[in-house]
Amino acid sequence: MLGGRPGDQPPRRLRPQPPATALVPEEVAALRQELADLRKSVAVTRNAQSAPGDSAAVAHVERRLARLEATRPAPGRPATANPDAADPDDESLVESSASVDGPTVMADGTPRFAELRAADRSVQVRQIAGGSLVVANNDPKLTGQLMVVKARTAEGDEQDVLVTVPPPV
Amino acid sequence: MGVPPNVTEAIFSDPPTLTQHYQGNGWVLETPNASTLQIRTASGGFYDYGFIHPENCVPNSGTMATKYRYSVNAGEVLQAPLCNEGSYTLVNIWRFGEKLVTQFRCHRATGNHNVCQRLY
Repeated sequence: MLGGRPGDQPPRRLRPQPPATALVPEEVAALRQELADLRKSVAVTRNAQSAPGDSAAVAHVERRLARLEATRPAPGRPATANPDAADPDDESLVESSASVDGPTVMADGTPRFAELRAADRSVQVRQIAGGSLVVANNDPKLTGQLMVVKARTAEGDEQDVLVTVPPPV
Repeated sequence: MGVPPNVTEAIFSDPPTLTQHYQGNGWVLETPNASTLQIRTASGGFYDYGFIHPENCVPNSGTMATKYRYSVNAGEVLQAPLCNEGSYTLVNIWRFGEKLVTQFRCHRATGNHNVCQRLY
């Protein structure tokens, strides 16, 4: 689970969303064009899929396409300005330097994690801009230990990462 | 031949704070987070700074890159990256007129931790 400071509310953090506003006709046309492009991209990618990691990327595009289609304006009705804001439970919206449509690998080579769960509940882990991790600890006995953290990306890929437990602040 | 100094360690809490690895003569080697190193000029003079660092963070990429500059003003900074655990960056600093170049090798230790060792 993405970490916060000790005593914080549940540490899952969503990036602040821009307010939804009605789209002007030019924006509707642009959204429709984007939908068409995305449909084509998904079809082409699905046909060309070769590496195991491609499936996660396709699934991500497909989810975004589904959100766009769900927010496509019916005639005479306004649409949501930011289709990605339509799904507040989308875990790709966790706090990070990368945008929802940004790279899935951070600058330091680390995947962009949606969830980081330490082996001990006294330790919370958070990913910051660039990809490195920061750790909050409230148990002095853990200071200096090497700890395994279960990390999961928005696409559902899981891996273990290591952190060094700092002293409580 | 002398014994190299021990490593200095930077372990990042939340929020991360700028951590100093070494204070030189008019400059410092410091790190704002586990994947970034920087040399900062602390007082006026003439300094040459250089890094050799991984060009990108593709695992086991064999390509290194350089970053370098001279500096004369306090507050000037040169930064270089560290990639995932195991990656390393080399650091060179020379102050005009000094007899020795100061060198470090720095490793990314864990997700929130890096270490640097001065070579002599």
